[in-house]
Amino acid sequence: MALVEVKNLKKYFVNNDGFLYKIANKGPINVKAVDDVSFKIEKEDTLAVVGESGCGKTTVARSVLRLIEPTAGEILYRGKLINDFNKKELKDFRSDAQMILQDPRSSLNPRFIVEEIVSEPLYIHDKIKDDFNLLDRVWELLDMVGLSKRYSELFPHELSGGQARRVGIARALALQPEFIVCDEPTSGLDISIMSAILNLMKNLQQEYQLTYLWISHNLHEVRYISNKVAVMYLGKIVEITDTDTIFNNSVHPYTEALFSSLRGINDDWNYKDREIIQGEVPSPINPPSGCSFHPRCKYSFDKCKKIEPELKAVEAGHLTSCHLYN
Amino acid sequence: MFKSQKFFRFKKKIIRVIKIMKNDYKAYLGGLIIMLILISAIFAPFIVPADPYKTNVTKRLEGPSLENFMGTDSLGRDILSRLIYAARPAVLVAFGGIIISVIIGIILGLLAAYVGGILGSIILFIFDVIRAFPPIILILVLLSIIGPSLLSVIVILGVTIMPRYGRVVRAETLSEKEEDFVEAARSLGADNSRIIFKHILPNIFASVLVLSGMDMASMIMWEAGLSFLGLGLQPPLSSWGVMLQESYQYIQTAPLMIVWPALAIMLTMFGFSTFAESLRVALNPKLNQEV
Amino acid sequence: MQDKILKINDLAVEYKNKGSYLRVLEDINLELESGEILALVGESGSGKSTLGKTILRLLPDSARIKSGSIIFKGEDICNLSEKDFNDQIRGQEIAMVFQNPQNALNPVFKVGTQILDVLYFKSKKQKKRKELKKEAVEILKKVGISDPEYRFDEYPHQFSGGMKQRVMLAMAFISNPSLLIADEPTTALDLTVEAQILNLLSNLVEEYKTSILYISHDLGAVAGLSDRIAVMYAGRIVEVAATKELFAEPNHPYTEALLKCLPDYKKTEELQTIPGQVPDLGNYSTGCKFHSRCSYSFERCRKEEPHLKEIGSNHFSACFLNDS
Repeated sequence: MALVEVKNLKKYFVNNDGFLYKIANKGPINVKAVDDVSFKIEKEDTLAVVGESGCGKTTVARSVLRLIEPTAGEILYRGKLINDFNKKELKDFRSDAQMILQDPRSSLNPRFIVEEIVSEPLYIHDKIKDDFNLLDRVWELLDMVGLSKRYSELFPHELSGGQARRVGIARALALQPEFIVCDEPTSGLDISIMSAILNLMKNLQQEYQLTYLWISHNLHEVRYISNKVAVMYLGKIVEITDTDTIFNNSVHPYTEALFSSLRGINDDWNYKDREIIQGEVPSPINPPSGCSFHPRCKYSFDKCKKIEPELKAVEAGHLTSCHLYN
Repeated sequence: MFKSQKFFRFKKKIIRVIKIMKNDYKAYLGGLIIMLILISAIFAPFIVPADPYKTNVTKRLEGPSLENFMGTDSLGRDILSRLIYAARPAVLVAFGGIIISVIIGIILGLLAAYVGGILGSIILFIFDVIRAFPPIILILVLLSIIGPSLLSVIVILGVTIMPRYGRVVRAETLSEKEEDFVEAARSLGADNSRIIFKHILPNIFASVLVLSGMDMASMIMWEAGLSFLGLGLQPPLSSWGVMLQESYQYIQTAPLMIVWPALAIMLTMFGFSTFAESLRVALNPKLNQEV
Repeated sequence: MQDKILKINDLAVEYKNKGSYLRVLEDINLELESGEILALVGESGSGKSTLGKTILRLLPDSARIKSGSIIFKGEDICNLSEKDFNDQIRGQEIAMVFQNPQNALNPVFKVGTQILDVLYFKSKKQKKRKELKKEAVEILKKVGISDPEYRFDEYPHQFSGGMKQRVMLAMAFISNPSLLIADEPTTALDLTVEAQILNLLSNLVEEYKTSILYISHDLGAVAGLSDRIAVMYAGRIVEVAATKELFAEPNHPYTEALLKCLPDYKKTEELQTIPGQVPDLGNYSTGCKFHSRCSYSFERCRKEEPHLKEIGSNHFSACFLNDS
């Protein structure tokens, strides 16, 4: 049984402008942020979700933890439907499934000192017996992320980006979770700090058998940290398979375009002569008909304009939604 | 046992605020003045040089002298002693009025922001109705209905100023609700009451505190104005506003008399505003990166 | 010998902070050939953005050039009056594009109007704005904006990040600058958009024969764009070399360590880390600024500061290891 299973997840945001606007536009405007997304995450996997702005990866991350209520679809954790959880079950779920947000500092209350920030989950779930127990646990957590005791007295604005990030990780670990959703955890960090955080996350995963859902736009990082990758475009998964395959044998034209824009320092092409995909990601308010990638796809044919392709397997453990393979 | 860590956190935050204010002359200046006023109010019976109620018709309207530093009023009473005693109603109005505004404002503002919907609209409507009246009219009308007294002045001023706090609390709550650290708290399993009391309130409290510092100054001014018009405190009770009114009649013969209560009002207002200004800077963690 | 369009000699820049002065740039020696793309890379606190802004005098009032000179086309532009600098250099001979295109365009004016403004000033107020409209639409087309006539009348918020950055590039190239300073222009953009912008930039450079000082922290992007790279650390330049050579044979320990920290999609071996932290801007120790984090450091590194020395053909490095 997979640890996390998402079935046909949909999240539409309705534009709540006044009714005159709605009349002018013939009905409220639906932004289809996530449009029928399904995937499984096995225990101790790291599933990376990649895609560009507007693809819906952030919405997926929050929906999986039910921080946003899905419009439709089911989310199962350990086989149980979290959509139906009552208050208590949801709270218990929250101690098993944690999140690390994108901006390292803004996820920390600027008026809390580090000790308060890291111990908050312990208070919420009644895990504190006394002050000694509390401080010991906090220092232990800080130590796990490589911060010494003295950091526990500092305010977030006294921390560097990397240190703030570590505090966020320590807080996420406080309840000994099984599953952590990481939303661009290294964005905004310097190269040398990024590598330290990546190594830290990898080590923590090994030591505590953690499972990650890892949102990123940095494909190099994805290669390093994940074993499965899902590529999203305009609210849908266009390709999902294990990491090696995505980098060496991807099949979807968007994946191909995305990865061909990627340059490692040891590649030998220049941007001047490179064939780069043209155009921009269309607005999710008015997606193209049929396959939403067809206007930019160099392989598109007639069927692509009319019919939306389904996510189907091209080989075991490798799915894509493209008419070339259906 | 628990309490010691909580106390430590609190201490750390207070120390930080104090450290910042230590470097700010405004804190000293404003703080000193406020202390002066508070001491006058609390310890009035012990520090007055003479009995403020004792009349002495032979010494009417005298100028400053060794015996009466600020002179005597129309009934021969020592002005300095009266001034000191009058700090009491000033303090009561300032603090009492603010406490009423703040408490009601916070409750209504939080409700409007968190519950929203129809209740929110009703609350906003109440705010707008109160604000639509020019304050002087609203206050005068209410005073004439309820009857002037210290208590009615406090309550009416409190209710009149309340919408400002309500609006600010509502607006800031709405924006703090969307902050990342609130989302993080939710993802940890925090329920609404924890989020409101631990995350949102402390962060909006700074704005409230600063506003109240400014408003305390205005409350004192309002009381003075109302008493001057005879609609505030009634004699024999006395406040600086009442003293202003009494002095006004003798402005031709004893012009210095009106200066003392006026100075007292000015000084107090200045003290509160200045202190509030230094608080504003000290309480904002983002403005102070270097402590 | 190609002419050097930019030559920076011993530049030092300071910021005033609460009474004392923080030295944020020190010992900066840099040359840029005509038509060359030189990348300036470094982490936060390295001073790379500050250097870019110093050249165009875009630093805040609390900053000043302590010493050194900036020779542009043979003339020390530090000596120009503010008026002359503004008329001749800024936006004319030397142009700049910045990181966040959403903040660079005025939100209350149409995009077309803003381009017309630049064209109008370039024509030295000779031509009327109406005559210039055709040219403006052409420019939009050239930078790859589809439906340029339609887009001309739109407002910045209707443009995506990538499109705004294209407009910024267009506006920068209108005056046919000899030098373009690009301060992390693609950091805020998606991967494919970044590739498009870098592709556009390369083509513009070829067409206008502009030299570029490209400031970035993204080594991968820079690898496919620049001819040479200068690595900065703690307000100093620590290494300069041709792009391929820098990546193949880094000399300075910081460069070497930095490259080992980079995740690369072709490699799966464990990433290295650099112990310690980047020092705060202006808050530096004595000796080599990197020595406390350097695995090769020795006694001399603590006391003296190394300077850039030529250690290979057009390869410079500031490290005492090269002295023995």
